[in-house]
Formats: sequence, structure tokens, C-alpha cells
Amino acid sequence: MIRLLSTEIQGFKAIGHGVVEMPCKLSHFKEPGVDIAGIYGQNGSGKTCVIEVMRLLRTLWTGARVDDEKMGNFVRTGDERMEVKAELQYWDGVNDYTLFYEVVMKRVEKEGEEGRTRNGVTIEKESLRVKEEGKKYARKETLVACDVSNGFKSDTSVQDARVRKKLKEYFHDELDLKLSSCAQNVVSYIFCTKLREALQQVDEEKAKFVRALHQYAMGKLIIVGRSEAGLIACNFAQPLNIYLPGKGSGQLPLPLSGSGVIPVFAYGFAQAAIDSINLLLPVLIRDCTLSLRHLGEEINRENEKCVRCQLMARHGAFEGPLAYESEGIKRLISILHLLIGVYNHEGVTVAVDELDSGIYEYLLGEILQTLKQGAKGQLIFTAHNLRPLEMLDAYSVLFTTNNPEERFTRFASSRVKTTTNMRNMYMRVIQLGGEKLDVETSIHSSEIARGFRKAAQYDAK
Amino acid sequence: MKTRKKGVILIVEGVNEQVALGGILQRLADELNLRISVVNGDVTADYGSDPSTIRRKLGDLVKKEMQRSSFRKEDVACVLQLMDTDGAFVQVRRLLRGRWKARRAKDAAGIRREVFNTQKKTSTQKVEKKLRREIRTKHGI
Repeated sequence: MIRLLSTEIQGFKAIGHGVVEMPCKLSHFKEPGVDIAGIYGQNGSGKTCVIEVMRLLRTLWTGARVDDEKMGNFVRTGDERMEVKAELQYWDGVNDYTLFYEVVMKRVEKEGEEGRTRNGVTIEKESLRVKEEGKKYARKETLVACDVSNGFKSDTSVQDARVRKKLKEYFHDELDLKLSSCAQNVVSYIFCTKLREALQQVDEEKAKFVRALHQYAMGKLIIVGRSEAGLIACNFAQPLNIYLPGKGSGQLPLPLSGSGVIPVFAYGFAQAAIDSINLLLPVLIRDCTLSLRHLGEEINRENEKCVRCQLMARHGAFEGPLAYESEGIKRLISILHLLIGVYNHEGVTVAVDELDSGIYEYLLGEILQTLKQGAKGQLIFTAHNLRPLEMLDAYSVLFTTNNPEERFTRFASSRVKTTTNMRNMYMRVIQLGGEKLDVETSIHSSEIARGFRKAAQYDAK
Repeated sequence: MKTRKKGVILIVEGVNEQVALGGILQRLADELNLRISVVNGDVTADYGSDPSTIRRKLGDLVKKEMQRSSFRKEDVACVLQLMDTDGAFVQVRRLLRGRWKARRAKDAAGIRREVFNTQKKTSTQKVEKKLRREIRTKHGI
């Protein structure tokens, strides 16, 4: 089982430097079940960056291709490199380990369309280290570390000499070629299929950790960004994020406006997820249930068996297409199965951007209260609605600061007493300062009113 | 680390004062480590205000603002009220009677209130000039 302990970000969009620590790192696992981290702050202060970084880590660990154009533009203006470090806890059933993953990406100019140049990234350094916990004098041991800042030389690019020798033997002296092909495609050196397979052959003991992290990213680390809210808003598709333990996880875009065709296996997954959602949904939205209406079978262009289906919503006795339901309901449906996963399964990490969008304040608060009391998995979210501040503990809430070099902070637990209303405390601190947090706002209603007037005067000219 | 700021609750009579003064005063207040909360509260123009209720009305305004901003009692450095006197302190003997008779009528917005009717159809400036001259001659200034 793997749990995320912390993420350290450097040179990424609005974040000069920032550390997002999960509560489980602070409490050292004494209190499982409160592993929720909510990130709060002003617009443009770097909340979404955290989710983007999580997505980047997931992409790297799954061995998939990084969207290097996007990442190239995400490297902070003025910086050349961005750096992400992640610390994870790994329990293999016998021993407890801490994994340290580190990646450095450099912005480079790449060839774009029609001979124009565009921003891109290359992975300059990547390493995975491990430390066995509970052992006296345990040291960080390097599993695999690649450094290609000096080019792809077989004798320096993989740092551990013993591993390097074995890998070179395995690849018949073509290790540097393999690494440069990874760099070309912007794929992780450690987690690309070829290196993972090679490592499995040459060093079973080390491969165990790489495999575990890969599996965690494939099935248990789930990221929900804002792009899917766009799908819902244009009635284009209903993304259904699912986590079915033992079977897999992922996002199924289901047809929203009218009927649509999805492969038979996807239909099976969607049906299973909807059945479990239906047990919870009527509690959250009065008498509301979902159904995926089977409208016949078809064969698609790839000669796959498909199902034509339509998503329906039922309110009591009335049933109609889900497309005509409110955006909030659709949004809630899209993430509900993940929240069920977080509540019930250890080792699941879900990161949701703007958890509060479209969700009724009271409902949001009650959901978080429930998760706080009994969730086994991990939840990272960003939000603007401050109701969760009244529900969560001080160590579960992070605030973005005004200082880009130290982007994230939290209230000291000792300052938030049992009777303290953290929402009021935050409101007071952003206006008056104090509490050792640099979160003061520069927003004043008088200035806004003045701005409104000035703008109109300018328009009239 | 900077020390915690203190709040100043500034009661003004309307949105114009808020726009004109709020931002600028805040810039001055920044140097003094203060944060200004501007409240609109034209308590004196309220027909329901009288000497017995005005204290409570002002108190309510302050309390509401403290609640809105999540200020505690110790956060508030002072409460300032900015008001114009609307001629309340003009000496009675300097008031003109008869020429400008107040009467209840509908104003331009269709609200019934006291309007002043100028008997002669002259421009405001002319009337004012005339008035000043009358006052000067009457009191020998």
C-alpha cells in the first residue's frame, strides 16, 4: 500500500517554492482517517498548480507521455527548470519504507508546427530513493537515478554503477539509446516500459518499489481537473470517474446529449459504478437516482461490440435525460464514485480541483465532515467555499501565501482550539494579518467601487 | 513578521464618500498598520432616528460590520463617523421664511417628500445671489 506524504514544488507556474504536506506526514500515521488536505487561497495563487503537479507525477509514474508543450509553458517565467519532489510511504506487508521521488525538467525550445518554435521540456534528472523505516541507522538508498544534464552517456546517465552495468548488459550496450528515446518522447526514464522490464530482470529487489509506484499511479492515484467541468458545461459528455477496487479506475466519458455508443466493457464498468452511486445519491439529492438505459447493441468501426445507451436521472416518479439536470448534480455525479473510494479504501489518493464548484455549501460541509470522521484513503482538493474550514482540522487546511518562495502554509494546530471557528479566524487574518501567516489580502471594496466607476468613465471617453 | 493590524470602522453617509475616501484613506492607513472598513450609514437622514434611538442604531452598524469582517472587540482601534451637517447648525435667525416654502409633493423620482418651491422661475444661481444680498442688507453685514 502506498500513501502520499508530501509534494515539494519548485518553479512551477505561480509557485516559486512550496511544500504540500499531507496530514499523515505530520501525525506520522497515528491518526489514519483524517488524511484530507484542502488548499485555499486567492485567485492565481497556485492552488490548481498542485493538482497539475499531481497529474504530472501520475503521468510520469504510469510511464505515459508528458504533455511537454503544456509543461514547457508551465515552467515559471524567469526560471529555466522546474523541480518536483514527492515523498511516499510504502508498506509491502512486512516492512515500512519511505520512497523519495525527484524529477527536474528543463524548458527547451522545440520545433513546432510550420517551422515555428514552441516551448517544451526535457527530463533532466530523475531519481527514486528508498529508506526503510523503523530500522536504526537506515539511510536513503538510491534505487534508480538518471542524470542526463551532460547528455546521454552510458557511463554517467544512470548513477548507480552496479545497476548501470547490469542495464547495459541487458540492453546490449544500447542503454543510452533507450534513454534518449525516452527523452525524445518525454517519458519517465525510470517508469518507461522498457526500463521497468529491464529492472525486473536485473534486480528484482529494486524493481519491487518501481512496480509498486507504477501500480499505485495506474489504479489508485486519481486526478480530477477542471477540463471535465467544461465537458459537462457544454453538455458534451458526462465524465464518470470510477474507482472499482481490484478492477481499475479511470474516467469514462458517457454520452450526455442524446444517446451514444460505448464499448461493452466500458458499459459494464459504468453500470457497476452507477449501481453503487445510486445507493448514495438519493441521500445527497432528494430522491435522485441515475440509470444508464440500454438501447441496443452495435458494432463500431474497430469491429468492437458496443452498447448504445443514454444516461437518465430519476426524481421520485419522474425520469428524464441527465442532460437536463443542473450542472451541480452532474458535477457531483462525476466525482461521487471517487469519494466512495476514498471513504472505503486505504491507499487511494484522489485529487480534485475546485471540489466546491456547483455543490451546495451545506452538502459540501457535511460530505467533508463524514470523510474526516471515517475516510481511509487520501483526498486533496482545492476550493473557494470556506465552509470546509469549519469542518476540517487545522492540519487539513493549507493556505496559499503572498510569498511565491514559500507558497503554502497552515494554521498552527495549537492556535486553533476546539471552540475556534477556523473560517472566522481566516477571514480575520486575511484582513488584519497575524498568526505568522503571510496571507493578507489587498482587496478593498472601496477600491473595487472606485475601479468600477473609473472604468465606466474611460468607456464614456 | 508584521504585527497584526488594527481595524478602523469608518461610517460614511453614502457610496460617494466611500468611493472617494475609502481607497485613499486605506493607503494612508497602511503606513499606520490599520485596515479601514467603510460602512454606509446615513443615520441622521433616517426618519426613524431620534435622540433615543441613534445610539442603538450606530451600535448596530458597528456590530454588523464587526460580524461581517470577523473582527473581535480588541481588533477595533476606533470607530470614526464622517457626516455633513446638512445645515442643522444654521442659526434660526439666518433662516429665510416665506420665500422658499417647503411643501409635500412628488419629486422627480415620484417619491413624496418635502420639496422647495421657488416662487419665481429663476435659475438657482440667481436666487442664491439674491438671497445673499437680502441677508447682507437685513443684518447689515
